[in-house]
Amino acid sequence: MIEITGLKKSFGNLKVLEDINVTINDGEIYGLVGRSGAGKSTLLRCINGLENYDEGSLSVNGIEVKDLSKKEGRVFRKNIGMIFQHFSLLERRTVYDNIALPMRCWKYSKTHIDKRVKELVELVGIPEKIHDKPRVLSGGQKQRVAIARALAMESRILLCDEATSALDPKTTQSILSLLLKINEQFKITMVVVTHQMSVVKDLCDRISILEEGRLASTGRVEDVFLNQPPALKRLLGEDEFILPDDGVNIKIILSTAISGGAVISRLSRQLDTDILLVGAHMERYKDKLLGTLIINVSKNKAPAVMNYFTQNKLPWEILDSENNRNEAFSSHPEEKLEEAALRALA
Amino acid sequence: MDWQMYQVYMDKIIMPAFFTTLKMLAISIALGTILGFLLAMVLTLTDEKGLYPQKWVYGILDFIVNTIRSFPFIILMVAIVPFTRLIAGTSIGERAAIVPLTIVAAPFIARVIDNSMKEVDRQLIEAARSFGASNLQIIFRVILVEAVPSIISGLTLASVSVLSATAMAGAIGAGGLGAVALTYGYQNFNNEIMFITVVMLIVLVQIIQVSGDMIYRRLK
Repeated sequence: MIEITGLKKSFGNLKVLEDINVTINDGEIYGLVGRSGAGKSTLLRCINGLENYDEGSLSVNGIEVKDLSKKEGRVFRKNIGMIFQHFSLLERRTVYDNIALPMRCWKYSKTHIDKRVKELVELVGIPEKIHDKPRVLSGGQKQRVAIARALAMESRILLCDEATSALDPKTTQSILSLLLKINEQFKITMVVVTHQMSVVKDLCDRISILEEGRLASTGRVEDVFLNQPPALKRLLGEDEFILPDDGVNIKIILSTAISGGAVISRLSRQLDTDILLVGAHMERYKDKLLGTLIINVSKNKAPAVMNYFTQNKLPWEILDSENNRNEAFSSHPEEKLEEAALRALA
Repeated sequence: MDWQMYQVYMDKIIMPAFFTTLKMLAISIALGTILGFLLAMVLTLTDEKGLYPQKWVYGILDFIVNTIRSFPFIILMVAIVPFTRLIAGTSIGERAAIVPLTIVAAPFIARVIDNSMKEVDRQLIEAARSFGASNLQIIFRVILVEAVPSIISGLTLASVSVLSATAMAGAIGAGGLGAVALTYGYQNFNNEIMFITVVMLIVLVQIIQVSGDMIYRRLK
């Protein structure tokens, strides 16, 4: 378990990290997201002691990283693998030698190294490349070598620093599924620094959004994307929907598990009314398909529409447009719409 | 020029001088590489961004390296005659010439190796630190491994410039092709010998460069 409390760090006058509190459980895939310069890579480097921190505490399985001596730090890092954006392989050595490097540094026996390297190339799916040099490998293959190297010392934690940022979307997906496979198979804790939303959605269990060295938002990936906190909106750079002033704007949260199909067209047929689609947003979170939908209906049809949603157990709420303030009104007045949707899902 | 005269020139003057030059070059490059390598190690380690930053050590070494490199060779050679005598026991001949040649080669080679080592990707070094490699392991198993081709091309460059320094050393009695060109070509107006020496120097430089490039490509 990685426990970070009240962590602070500055370079001179520049505060890089301020009051960071994060707990990462064993076997979890945790995302650190944010724009470049937000401090996410620095935070990641604090975890394996490549960077120091000024104040606060960071403990990995009960070991306070700050208190380690130089020698202890090396032994400590041995069990924490790390992969990088530009793969960081020895260009002049073969795949075999690259994967063997950490074990050679720690003076493992030749037979152990040989056995382990062969296991690892099988695991990452490039056994036929074992005697090639990185020069002839594709980006994805290079990252596979780097993953194998990071796992060579039987690491329990894997730190990924923008590991897929230099790869094309298809290769990114294949690396992500490899990481998921490794996480499932060996229950390795992963801390993933990224600015790619696809990585967050397909890989991470929980995330923290960092803004200028501060934690702006933290939570399960589904919750964060459903709640759309301001930090996430700023990160995505998305505009909010502009709502029409006429009629009533209703927001619903959809999931295939709740609605079981084409809700809006059924609604339109059943109530024999026109429905204006104002905005929609569908996303896949791991295995669940969730979406936000904002529709506009005429005032006199609104009660029937709300009634229809309630009957179909779809959480809904009425949105205010800029010039048209409605009474706060929703299917679940005592809780937030997103919470209602998640409860309906569960 | 008749053939017999040419034979005499070659056997008695040019070939011995050629081997003297080769010997001076080889020994001073070898010694210069050893010294330069050690200097480069210290420079790379103690650099501000190095693995073991030591501002003062780096500053002083850096200053010395730059000072020696700013001397014109012929001046340096004359200026350090007492030191040369101390080390080699004499200030004349190839043995004596090796001292200033090494002193000039070492900082040059140190710079070359230092630059090659600094060019190694910083993230690769960070990766090595991330699995707990020690500073020595990072230097020998990572940095040097990656820097070898670039060090080789730097050594090629150093060899060519030390070769030109050996010719200059000829001016104050070091022997070798440079001395032959000066004595026979410049002072005796013997154009044949002058011409042959120049051709041999050109061929020598070409051989050094071509073989250096070949090794570079093989290692890259």
